[in-house]
Amino acid sequence: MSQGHKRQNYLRNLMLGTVAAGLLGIFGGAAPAWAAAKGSKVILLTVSQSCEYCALHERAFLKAAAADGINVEVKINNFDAGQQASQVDQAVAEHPDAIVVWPADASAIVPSLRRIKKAGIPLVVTNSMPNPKYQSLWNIYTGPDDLGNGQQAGEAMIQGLKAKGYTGNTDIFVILGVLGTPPQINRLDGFTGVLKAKAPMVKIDGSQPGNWDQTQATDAAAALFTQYGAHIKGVYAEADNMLAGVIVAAQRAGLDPKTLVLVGSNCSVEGVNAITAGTQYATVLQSPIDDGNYAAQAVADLLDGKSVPKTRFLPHPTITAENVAMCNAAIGR
Amino acid sequence: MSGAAWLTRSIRLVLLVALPLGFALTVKHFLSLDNLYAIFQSFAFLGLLALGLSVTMIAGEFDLSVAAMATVAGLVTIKLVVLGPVAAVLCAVMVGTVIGIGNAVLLPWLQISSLVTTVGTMILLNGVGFWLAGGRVLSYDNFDVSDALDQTLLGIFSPRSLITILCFLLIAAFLQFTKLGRDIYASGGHRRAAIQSGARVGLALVVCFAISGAFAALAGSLISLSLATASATLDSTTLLQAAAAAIIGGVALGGGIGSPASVATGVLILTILNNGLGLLSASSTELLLVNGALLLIVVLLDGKAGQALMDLRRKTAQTKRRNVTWQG
Repeated sequence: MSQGHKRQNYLRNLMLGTVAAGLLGIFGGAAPAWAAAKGSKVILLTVSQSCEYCALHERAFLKAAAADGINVEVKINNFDAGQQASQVDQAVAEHPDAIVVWPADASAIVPSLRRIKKAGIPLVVTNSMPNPKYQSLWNIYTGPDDLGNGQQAGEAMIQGLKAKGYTGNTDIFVILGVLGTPPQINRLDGFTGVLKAKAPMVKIDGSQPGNWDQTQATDAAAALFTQYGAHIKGVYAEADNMLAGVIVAAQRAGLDPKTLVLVGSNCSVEGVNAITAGTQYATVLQSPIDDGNYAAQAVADLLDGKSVPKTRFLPHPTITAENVAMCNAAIGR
Repeated sequence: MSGAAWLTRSIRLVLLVALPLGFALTVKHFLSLDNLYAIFQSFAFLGLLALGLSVTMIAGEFDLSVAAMATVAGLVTIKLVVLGPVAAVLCAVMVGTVIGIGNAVLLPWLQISSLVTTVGTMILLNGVGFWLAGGRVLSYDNFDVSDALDQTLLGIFSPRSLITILCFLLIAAFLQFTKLGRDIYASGGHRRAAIQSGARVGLALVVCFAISGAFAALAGSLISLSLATASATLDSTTLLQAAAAAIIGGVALGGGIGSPASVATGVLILTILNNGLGLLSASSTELLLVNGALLLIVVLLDGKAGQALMDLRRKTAQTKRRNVTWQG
């Protein structure tokens, strides 16, 4: 498939995803009592600056919000749910025109969302969606669909195994993010769900947490390569930086990464480099720039009283060597 | 009281008055009732942790397992909340107390520092936490308990912050008015002299670690009910924040010095500082830098730098007096 064709698919998926979410979701509706976006004060409650994705998200949000004339106050915490609850208390005390929150923990944020709702402050949740049964607590959610992300990775794994001629019983292992975090749980659920449904012959021999960290992922993969050795034909890491650790561990174990089907996620610089070098088969795009822009657009539309879809997911196309340039463009490199 | 001790005590009192005053004058909303409520909500969690930890510090020991204990207690609470929230909290506190007592019992048996035994307990509890969570975030859907615990009382308090304040009062009374309380101070001040003079050092240590474990468990239990969630991961800076609050408040790492009032002062200084900086949109990195710098200044003033400053002040005063006498 040509690169132009892939780009068309990407745009089509983006449009279809947005339209579908709009049709399926409950519309935010007009909000005549709220301040207009221009000149309004919005508080962005976000997470760690030490994570590249988070920093790019914040930068994109601030740029887009500034273009809409929104004054943004940022409160950052280090993925600490307790601290974020205090920050929400503080944000409510400031009576802003709207709040945008990236939950440090998608479950622990629910009581805080209840407080925001009680205070009557318009709310956009970004990046991590709490359980949809509480969706009456927020006006709009924008961000990734981690289940869909994992499903795309599963599809890429099946496609890669077929392309490299691994048919029949095939062994793979998985490197996970921080256990218990929503992206870790949902991506794994999506990945295993697709394999179970479409490729039951592919067996996940083991999994270890790499905690979203390359060094820890290298150690975890080294242990799994030692345990299962030459039987392993593929690895799924829930993030590209962890997959970079898997590639190092494979080389140390005397395996050629190019013979393996290595699938990551996020389209970070490690993934782009490895796909270009041919050591990584595929990744799944999740652009922090789009993530930040979607949230800023949502809060501006909400304050301007426009009808906006309740849920707006980021597109998650599969990226391989054929369309890796799409990754660069979406992340702004 | 030594010159350096007087100096640092004065600085703490000045900080406690100047910080809120400075923020009130420069930051909109700082003195609003909603924001004062937010300050006491932060005080509720950090205060309990710092209070328990400081009791072991007064006895000349240190409990590194408090943050891990809070995490495990949170998980125990959410696991057992089907028995009722009060029963779940009591069970979690009981677990914390037993583990705290275990920490104390290990000390004379192993003949090693509490830093070593409690680092072992901390790692063990981290493992227990992951086992209890089973790779998931534990949550429950009944938010009535969360609403009840965090409801506004008297404008700026909540039942959770009042529980913490009550614990401070109880520990202050215990340390001040009971013989065992005085034995805890004696154990931290001069342990050998305390043993020779008949102080019940062993019992004092058991009680200290039991309090530390119980309060850490209570803090973790209440925050998990407040968030209606518990997970095996807790911010790595929680333990440091609790220790920093105790030290900034004036609890000596060497033992024998400190009180619940001084711990409350330290916790309030940190909480107000972080709240005010938060209103000024400071990032978590900037908060850590400011907290670290404050801790460093207090430690330096508590130690030789403070003594040197007081000596310099005394010498300058003497020189001035001499000059006045000579000119006269």
